[in-house]
Amino acid sequence: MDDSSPQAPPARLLGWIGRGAFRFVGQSGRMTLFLGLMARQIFRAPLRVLEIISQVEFIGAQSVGVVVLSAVFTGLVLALQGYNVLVRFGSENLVGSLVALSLIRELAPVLTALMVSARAGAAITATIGNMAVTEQLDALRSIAVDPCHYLAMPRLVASLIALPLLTALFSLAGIAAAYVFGVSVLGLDGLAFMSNVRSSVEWSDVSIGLWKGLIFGVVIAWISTFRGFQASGGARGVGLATSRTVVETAVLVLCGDYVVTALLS
Amino acid sequence: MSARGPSFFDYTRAELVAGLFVILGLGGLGYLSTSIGGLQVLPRDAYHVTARFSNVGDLKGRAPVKIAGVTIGRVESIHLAEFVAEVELGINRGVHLPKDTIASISTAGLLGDAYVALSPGGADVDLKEGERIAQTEPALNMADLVGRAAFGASSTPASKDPNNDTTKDPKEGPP
Repeated sequence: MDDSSPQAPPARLLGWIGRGAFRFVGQSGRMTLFLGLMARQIFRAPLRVLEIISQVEFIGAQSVGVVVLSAVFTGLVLALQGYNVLVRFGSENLVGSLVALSLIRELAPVLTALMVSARAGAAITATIGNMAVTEQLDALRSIAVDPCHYLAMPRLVASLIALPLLTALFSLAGIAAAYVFGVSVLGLDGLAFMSNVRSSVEWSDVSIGLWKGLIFGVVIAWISTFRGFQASGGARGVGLATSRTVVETAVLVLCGDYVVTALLS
Repeated sequence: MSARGPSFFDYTRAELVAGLFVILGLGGLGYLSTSIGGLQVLPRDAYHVTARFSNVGDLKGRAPVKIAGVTIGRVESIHLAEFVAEVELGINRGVHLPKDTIASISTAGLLGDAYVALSPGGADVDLKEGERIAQTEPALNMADLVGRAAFGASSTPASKDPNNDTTKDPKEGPP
């Protein structure tokens, strides 16, 4: 009872819940308004092409290695697990459609978004957060450069470009790995595998994956730049903002995945 | 230029890497959409015939059309016309179907996908764009078939001992 305000435990609990609720509602509102602000910057001149290109290189091209690596092992484990179940029914040729459909519709967009947010999203927050705590954002404002236009907009555009492409690469790498593994280790017929993949995957499956890629691209750019701008309190604040980015992006991607799947199919 | 890092032909390394990534990604996306996803950018070189079935079973759009097991086209659309299912078939140009071709719906294996099987007749005149295949056979209903085999057999009077009943039929067995 060394608290400055001597309250009974129930009242303190109520106060704690109330403050938490207000903080949650306020943060949600601030994040939503920030998303609108960021989206509006795309239509404001100048377009900052050079900055967008360098961000595509950072968010997209530098993620290819880690995305392909995780895709290869996802494809391998899907093929192995699917084979173990399907071989009991003598329909091991369905491994192709199992791997392709689960990769294209669900796993490729989600896992790509998680990998990119851990790699690039965290770095974006750390960069912008460091600028925020060292008052470089105020310096930008003082020379009439809007930080939201200069820092956030190129990253939003770049991740809108990069995420669908990375998602497609993830799907292809996973299917290719499952193909090689299925043909060389499991003894499946290569032609049957590919014709099974082709006949089971429809354009609507590919387009769902693309939509998810676009939406997760927005989520990554949105959360990581927002957390960067909000960072305060020196090096510790930047670290906190970075870990929040990764957690919030992962939660939003997984929730959003369910919502998109439910809405689009 | 030298201030922006090593450059090749006036492009920075970042620009070249980003460009390579975008081209690679678009290529992968294109392959995924067209070859695997079946998106048609250019219209396929095909002509169309229709066929009416009393029941299409679980035939779906884009299902293959086969003659003797060889795919020669795809199902373009399935819709209801005068309370029967009208199926539009896109047949590859170069495959000529005689007028008295019979269309039937079969299933690849026990659990496989449904497809349209065509058995060509011997007529001299070929089917043309937009014409209808006159003779069709509806999809076999697996549940009906199993039901007929199981309950049709057991409805005979001597059905107390299943071993004797089904394997050795005294009337039809060889001497």
